[in-house]
Amino acid sequence: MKISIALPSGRLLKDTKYFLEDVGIKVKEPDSRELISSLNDYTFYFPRVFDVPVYVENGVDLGICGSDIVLERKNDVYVPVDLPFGKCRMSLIVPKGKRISPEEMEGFKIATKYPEITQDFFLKKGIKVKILKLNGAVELAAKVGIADAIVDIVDTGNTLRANDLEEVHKIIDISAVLLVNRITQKTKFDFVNDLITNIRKIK
Amino acid sequence: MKKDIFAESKTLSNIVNKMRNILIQNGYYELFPPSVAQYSENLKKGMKFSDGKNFYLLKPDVTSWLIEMDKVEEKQKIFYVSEVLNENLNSTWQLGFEILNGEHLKAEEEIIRLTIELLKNLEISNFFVDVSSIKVWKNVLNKAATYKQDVIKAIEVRNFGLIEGLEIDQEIKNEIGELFNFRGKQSNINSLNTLLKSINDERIFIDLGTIKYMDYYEDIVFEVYAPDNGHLLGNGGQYKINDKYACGLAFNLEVIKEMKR
Repeated sequence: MKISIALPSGRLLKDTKYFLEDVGIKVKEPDSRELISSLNDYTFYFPRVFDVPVYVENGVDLGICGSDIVLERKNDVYVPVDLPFGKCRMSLIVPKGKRISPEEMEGFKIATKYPEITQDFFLKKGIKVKILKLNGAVELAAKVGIADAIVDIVDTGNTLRANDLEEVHKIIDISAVLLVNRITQKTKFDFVNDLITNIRKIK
Repeated sequence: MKKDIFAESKTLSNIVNKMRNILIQNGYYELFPPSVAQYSENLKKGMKFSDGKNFYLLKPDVTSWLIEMDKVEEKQKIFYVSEVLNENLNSTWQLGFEILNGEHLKAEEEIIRLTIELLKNLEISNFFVDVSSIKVWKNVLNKAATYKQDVIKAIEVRNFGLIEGLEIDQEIKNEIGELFNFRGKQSNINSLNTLLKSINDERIFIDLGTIKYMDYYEDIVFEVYAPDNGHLLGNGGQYKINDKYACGLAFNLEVIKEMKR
């Protein structure tokens, strides 16, 4: 049976490779700058991590990425199991010494790579904010002062400390997740269920 | 390169004409739903807009519009070809067909038989139809009423881990686990067994786990898919209009067009 898997290029790739090997799927990284590789019955795709759910929604059998990306992109895919790596959190962050609760942020400018998650978070609290969508180095926006606060991923907290920022509220916990295409779940039912069972045993 | 709108339309037109002929031969007539409907939270999909006084939806889902119209008296067999928008203005063309004021199980059987005939006429044979029961899920949801939204979320992403984290009886969790993982030809749900037996086609399966939770469906739901395409060809199910039994299915014409390519 042929299986295609979209893997996250970037910081999750190493852990993803080790983890898949633990569940019996040996990953071959592509040669040079190619974005596709094959080994045994598996074809591996290496898109940008933000695009993994798009590939899975549109026909790639499986994918692995962070749960933050699934929540942000809202693609129509199954997310049957959390994986035991890529653990971090998404938090609301302000410049050090300007601590304020989210409920007091009416009218604030919030910079983030995650406009959907940020909007949902403040909407649930009934607070109107202006969201500035950035593509990276979000800490800079708070430091320069173009935003009053930022929403971003926090792992060790070192980046925050280095930029004189502090967390005021954890929005969600994040981990790597397995994604399954809706049709693959039907057509490769036993394979997918066995894989999920194996993953749950390892967890 | 600019999209060739004429070639695209010609392909779509050929597909729709073939399907239209079969539907008319089977006693269905074409319904022309309006492009704009007064906003209601019962209407699904569509692009919400306002003229300054009222809210409206542009191109909403047709089945939810039919239910909202609440006009059915006599038996009607209808079909429609319609563009459906979502809130991001992404559009899909659908061909749907519905039996309004039909009979329990006979309506479902006719809809599935017609689905098979329509695809056969388009020379698509490598497809499957999965049937499931919303009623079975609703029963479980009632047992875990406090966590209804959490269970629905878990069903939608098919994540049993989310269920395990809830403070509900282990017995209910086990029941949900069984529903998640049931796929076969014979279940303990009589209506689904009867349906499979009467249609007798090896491409139909009972798959209780792979459903999308739509709140207007009452019991039996279907999904049509092909192994060589990552999207559903169509989906549908049984619902009620004006307390009359109804059942229908909508094909995603973009996916069918891809398969024909």
